[in-house]
Order: sequence, then C-alpha cells, then structure tokens
Amino acid sequence: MKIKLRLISLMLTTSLAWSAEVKLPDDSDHLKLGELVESLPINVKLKNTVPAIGPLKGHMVTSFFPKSETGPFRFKCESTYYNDSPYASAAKCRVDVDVNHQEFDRHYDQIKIMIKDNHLVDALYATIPYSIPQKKFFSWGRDNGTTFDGKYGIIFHYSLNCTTKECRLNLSNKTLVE
Amino acid sequence: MLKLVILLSFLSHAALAQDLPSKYTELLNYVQVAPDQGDTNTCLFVASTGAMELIANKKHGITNPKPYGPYDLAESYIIHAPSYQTSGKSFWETPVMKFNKGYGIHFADWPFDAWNDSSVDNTIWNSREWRSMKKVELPKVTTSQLFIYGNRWSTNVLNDSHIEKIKAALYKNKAPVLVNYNDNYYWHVVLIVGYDDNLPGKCYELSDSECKEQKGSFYVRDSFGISVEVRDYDWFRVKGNAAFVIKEANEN
Repeated sequence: MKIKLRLISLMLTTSLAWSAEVKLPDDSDHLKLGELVESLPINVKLKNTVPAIGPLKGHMVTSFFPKSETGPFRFKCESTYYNDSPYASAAKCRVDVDVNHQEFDRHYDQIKIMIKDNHLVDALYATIPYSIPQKKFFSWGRDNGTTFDGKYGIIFHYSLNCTTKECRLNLSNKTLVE
Repeated sequence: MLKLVILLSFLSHAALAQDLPSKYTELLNYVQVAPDQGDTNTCLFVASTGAMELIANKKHGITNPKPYGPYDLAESYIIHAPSYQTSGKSFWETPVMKFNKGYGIHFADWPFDAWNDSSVDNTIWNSREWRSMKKVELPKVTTSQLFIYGNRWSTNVLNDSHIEKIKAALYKNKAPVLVNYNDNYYWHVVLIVGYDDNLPGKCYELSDSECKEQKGSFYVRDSFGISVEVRDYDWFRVKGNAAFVIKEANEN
C-alpha cells in the first residue's frame, strides 16, 4: 500500500510540474509573445508541417522558453507560417507557472516571478528591443487591477522588466486557471 | 452612361490587378522595429518615423536593421520639430515632412519609452533641446494621397478597389503606405509595408462574417511591440479610411 501511494505521489509530482496556466485572452498577446520566444537564443524549437490550405503549404514552429521544465515558469508558443512568409500568420502561446516554486510569489491580482539565472536574463535582455537601461516587454492586452505592491493601476497579462542582473516576470492572475 | 462608367471602372480595376505581382515583400528587409507606443497616443509620429527609417535604410542598403542602427530615429523629434513644406498636405502627411529639413535625431540621443513601470509615461511628449543634438542626415521625402473617406473613425467606406490601390502603390513606388483606420473605436495610424495575395492573415477585431473572403494579406508595421503583423485585406477594407504613399522625393 505504501509503495502504491509513493508511486502515485511520484506520478502526481511529475505531472504537476506546471501547476497553473495563465490564459492570454487576446490574439495579439499570442503573436507578440510568440515573436519574442522564437527570437530568444536559449529556447527549444521544433518545426512541423501543418495541413495545407488549398495551394498554401504551412509549417508550425513550436518554441519553449526556458529549456528547463523545472523552473518557476515556461512559455510555449506555436507559430504558424505559410509559404515563404517570414512572419507568422497566427500564434498560440501558453504560459505555465509552478505555484509551488520558491521564486513564485502572488499578491493581489498579480503573480511575480524573479528570474536570476544569468543565461535567461542575458537572453531576455539581448532580445527585448529598446527601453535601455531597463528592458520592458508588455502584453498588448491589459486590465485595471491591484498590482503586486498593492497599488491600483494597469496590469498586463504578462510583463517582463529586465535589468542586466535580473528580470521580473509579472503575470495577471485575474485569468489564472489552476 | 452609368453602365459605361461601371464598365470602365471594372476594366481599370481589372487592369490594375492584372499588372501586379501576387506579392511584394521587398520592403520587409528594411523595416526598423517600432518601439511600443503603449497608451501615449503617438501612432502618427511612430508610423511617420518608421516610414522615414525604412526609406533611409533602403537607400543605404541596410537590411534587417537592428535597434539603435544608423537610421533608428527618435519618434519624439517630429512631435516638436517645426512644420516644413506642408502646403496642401493633410494632417497625416505633415509629420514626415518635418524630416525635409534634411535631418532627424538618433533614437539613442532621444529615447522613446512609453511605460514607467506599468504606468503611462507621458514625458515622451516633453520637448528636449534637440537643436543641440547630433543630427542624422536624411534623404528628402514626398507624400501623395491615395484616398481619404469620411473621418478618422469611419468604417465600411472602402471596397476591393482601395485594396488594389494600396497594393499598386506599394509595388510601383517601392515605398511604404501610411494608413489610418478605426482600431477598436480609436483612430490609429500604421504603415503597410508589403502584401501577399496568397497569405492568410489575422482578421483583427473583425467578425467572421466581415472577414471571410481570405483573399490575401498586408504586411503591417504597427507600434505595439510586434515587428510586422500579417493582416487580412478585409481588416483594412472594413476598418480603413485613408492612405498615403511616403517615398523618397527624387524617385519616380
């Protein structure tokens, strides 16, 4: 009986590595995050063909960031391209978070994850364009709510604020699905 | 008489469509990624600066320009620079004409950051002592109006012939087209930088009944953090109302 319970416990631990998904409600949020994730130098990228639309041949690029499945968060984006277009016609991203991770913090309407891994920070800092010295990357969609520090204001479905030392990933938990 | 007009209109439309290749994507190589304008209401300045950047990059053969590249220009400069040679030009055309003084300011010297943490940073509207900043020499540009219908919020005022006009303008001028459309009840200005008759694109706020024809897509340089988006022709046919070519002045 004990062995069985341990096995079940182990299976649950493995399958619950990502214990929550942050929903991105707007198409533009997906396209925007998809473009970023696909551009990051440290990611996992897979390419598969998708069913043709008439004469149009398509392929889907699936990108994950970061590579590791054991951190506090992971982006997964599937971007669909047709013919030789350099830009995706559509994208679908999901944001998984591990609510039990030590770098995960939640207050009010937001989740905060501090990213301190040098490789991840360097990759994000190098890829997010503009707004030096602090690099900022905000979702297109946003809402009003109570921010992490208890103030009422704009909250984004996702936002990244990076210095050269660390990045802060904020996610809106208003649409968090667990 | 009416029949003759309709026939001539149909023939000219058909002839226009026949002359064009099924896609034109050359300008994509020269697009400078726009900063995220956030909620600062600066779309016209961001799009106009993007047109100038594209033209300068193309003239100097700078492909896939990186942020802070040689022709990455300060959007805030044309908010404050005095008007120049704007006689007979519309509201949409006047900002880009300010570059006809012969120069702009580099983005590194006058950055554009729309967000202060998660609050709107309206200090981007503040003027700076740009006269003493280092100037980036630029080619002269000219604009030509393709069409204006209704007001800046008008929808459903265009038809397929206007889509063909934009495609023809892109291909014949090898230059971007600045357009105005209704974006979720705000007027918004972006650059169209290419087209492909065989590419599916985003329907962008349209209902399924409004966006069903799947005739092809424009490549659009917007200012919300995505470098270039692929948007269905129906997006502009339903939401658009004005379009202008911006090209180098000495080009035909």
